[in-house]
Amino acid sequence: MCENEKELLIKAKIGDERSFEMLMQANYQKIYNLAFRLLGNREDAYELTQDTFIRGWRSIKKFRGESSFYTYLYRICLNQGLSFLKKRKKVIPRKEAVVLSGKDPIENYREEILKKEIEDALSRLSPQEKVVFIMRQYEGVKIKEIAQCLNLKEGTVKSTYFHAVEKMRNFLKRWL
Amino acid sequence: MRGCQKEKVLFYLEGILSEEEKEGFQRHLEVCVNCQRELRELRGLKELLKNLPEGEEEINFSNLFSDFRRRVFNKHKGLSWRWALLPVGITTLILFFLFRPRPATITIPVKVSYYDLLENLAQQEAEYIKEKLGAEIEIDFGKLEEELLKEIPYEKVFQLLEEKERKAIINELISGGEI
Repeated sequence: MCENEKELLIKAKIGDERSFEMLMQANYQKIYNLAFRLLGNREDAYELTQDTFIRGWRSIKKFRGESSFYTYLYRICLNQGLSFLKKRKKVIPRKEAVVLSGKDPIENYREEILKKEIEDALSRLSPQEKVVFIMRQYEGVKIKEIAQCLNLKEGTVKSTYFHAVEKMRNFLKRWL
Repeated sequence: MRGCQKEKVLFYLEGILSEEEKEGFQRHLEVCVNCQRELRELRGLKELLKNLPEGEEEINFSNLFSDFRRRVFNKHKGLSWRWALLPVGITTLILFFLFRPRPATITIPVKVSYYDLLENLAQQEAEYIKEKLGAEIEIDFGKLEEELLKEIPYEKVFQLLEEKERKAIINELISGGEI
């Protein structure tokens, strides 16, 4: 954790709004990206981002600074996201317009289709599989940390991750 | 081939096997075509998954923060729907207090002369004064009645007494043949 972040955290803990605003500014995009990956649409991702910061603010006094502030936030985000997914049951894959880049149109089209299929495959995982898969695959979080974060046994996390990978492989078989 | 475990291939790729497990699996991998194919496929999948977009376009921080502020810092400013309900709550409480159900009044069908009551009260009063001051007093009941009627209605005089005393007075009057 950098000195500046430590200082901001100390001030935020005693209720300094401006310090918390700066901490939010440094982390909001990453949290939003994570929320978007978890929930698959803008509105829900925005709501989860808000919720993450609100909870982060309300429990900031309990944060002991053993990890970075981002780690603290993503834990909140993942747990909240997991509850959200459990309640929602079915993830609605986003329907965004295909943005054409300057690449070869055929290659571009192929990429867009692939992205949609990955999102669709992710939406078919169970809430727990999805959270574990995203933490491991996209956030690079260690199995031990995932277990701590979600309050699960390491063995459970490993088998959940394995099943998630197997499902993803089956869904995306034609691309392999 | 013996020792093939899909999980091990994945965990080997992810680098989450212990040193001992890793060495054992590497030896197995050199001779197992199935696991080699499995490993190639999982590597391919990992490459493929990199195609998932980073997230979304950048979101506007000002909007995010102002929504956050509204929900956290300014939660008591302005009239929320809870505060708007306050006058309704107060009015309901006042109305309930005014029209609250009260126990039915019991009418005792005993005719007790007002004079007797006063006499009884006066006797009690005289005894009380005698006890406290050690002095004998004489009470003019006529005057007392006049004074009491000026200030306090009969019901109130009656209510001033404790329930026990009231019952005692009534019983005494009944036994005295004043019904």
